[in-house]
Amino acid sequence: MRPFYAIVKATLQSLLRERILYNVIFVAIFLLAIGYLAALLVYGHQDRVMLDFGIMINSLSVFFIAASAGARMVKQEIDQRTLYPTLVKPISRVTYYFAKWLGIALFLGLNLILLTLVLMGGLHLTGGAIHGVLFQALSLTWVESMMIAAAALLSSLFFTSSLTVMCTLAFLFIAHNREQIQFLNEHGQATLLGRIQFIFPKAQYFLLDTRVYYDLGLSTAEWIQRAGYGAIWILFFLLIGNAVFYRKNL
Amino acid sequence: MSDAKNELAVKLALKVDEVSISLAKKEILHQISVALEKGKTLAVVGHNGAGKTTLFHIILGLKFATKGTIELFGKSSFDSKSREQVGYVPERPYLYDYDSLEGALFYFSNLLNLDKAEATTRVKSAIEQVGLAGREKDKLKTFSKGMLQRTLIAQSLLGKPELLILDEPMSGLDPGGREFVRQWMHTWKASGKTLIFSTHTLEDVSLVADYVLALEQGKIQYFGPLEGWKA
Repeated sequence: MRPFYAIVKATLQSLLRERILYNVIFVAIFLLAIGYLAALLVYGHQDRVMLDFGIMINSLSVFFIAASAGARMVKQEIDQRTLYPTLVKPISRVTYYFAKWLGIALFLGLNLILLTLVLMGGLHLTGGAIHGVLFQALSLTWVESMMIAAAALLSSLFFTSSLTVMCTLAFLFIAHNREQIQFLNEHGQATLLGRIQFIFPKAQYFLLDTRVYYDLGLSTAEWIQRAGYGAIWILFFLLIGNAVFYRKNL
Repeated sequence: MSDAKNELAVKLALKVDEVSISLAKKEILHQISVALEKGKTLAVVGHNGAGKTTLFHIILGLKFATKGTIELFGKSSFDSKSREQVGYVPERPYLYDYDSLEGALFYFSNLLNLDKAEATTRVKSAIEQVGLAGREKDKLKTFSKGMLQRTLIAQSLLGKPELLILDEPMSGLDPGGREFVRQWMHTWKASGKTLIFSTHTLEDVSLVADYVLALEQGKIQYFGPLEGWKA
């Protein structure tokens, strides 16, 4: 497992040096501060405004980081050929690909922890209580961001980094509207998107903002079910990505 | 007959059998067959675009042949374990330049699954062999082309390889750097290990090689002993 962890660590170190990702975090923290100021302008339920705003900002920034990191990490190494000295060592491409994804996943976890601490600070200042359902929501945000990273990694094997980010964000938009697409498809509004909807996950499963707002926690079984759903999609994207990467001429 | 085949396979460090590759609908290599015994040195020569680097990439599993097979020490190049006894020095320094020399070499040691004590010994030894002692903590981005080339050689030595593949190792080096690499290649050859290198410098071929593979637009122009090529 030493080679695997070496690549995970190198990926994490490489991401910690990416300036663009820090910019996203700073913007997120800035927006959380704006959220706090907006909450102060509201009469009553200031904590709920902070919570609503905070969860949205946390999710969007982590999703953007996931798309950006997934689009760049393998693609950049292919373009700059820095993966040559790594892949000529006796390690398989499967190990390399999974390790790259895990490095990104850990980075996303670190980002989420940082942004959650800022959000908790804002909640504390607005007099809000921190409930367990908030952590359930954030854990599912992490699962979703890992899924986005896996989809971006796969997409980056075919497209340029910027096109991959765009494709991944479009994928995310469709995934969050899959139930509506399904509804339209079942009620006579059949579109191409409706026919191929099954290649998109139902991202609503990962959204718990309303539940957080009203402190309606998931049961452990429900949480496992939703996280498991995400894990299956992550595995799906990683396996397809691996199959492509395994036979790719570098 | 089968015993004779097995005996030959044991003697061979590299066997390239009828390998062709097409990239973007263009044939880059056409039916290349090469066999190299252990302990011998092969120089691959040819103009830019002749297919030298592509051949190395196929041998190392970075690219996949459209036709044909490759064996390294009797193992298919599809098997990542076939590269256990192989070191590679690419033409350009494809390294993480934010790393220190020591950091980069420990990263490669980990890829080779070496434990910490063994990695420390080998990293120290590799740094000494390439004459970079005292620069362990320096960042690679502060290194000259020659020093990066030495770093690449150092990383290729960590696995104690039996076969070393050098892709245009003299490219872009100043006379001092060229002399270092040339001397180093002689030392490697003298140790009885296998060496494959590509070059444009005929002097290097004459001084170091036992065999020559000359490529012309992806096809073999000559493959055989140095003497035959000179003639």
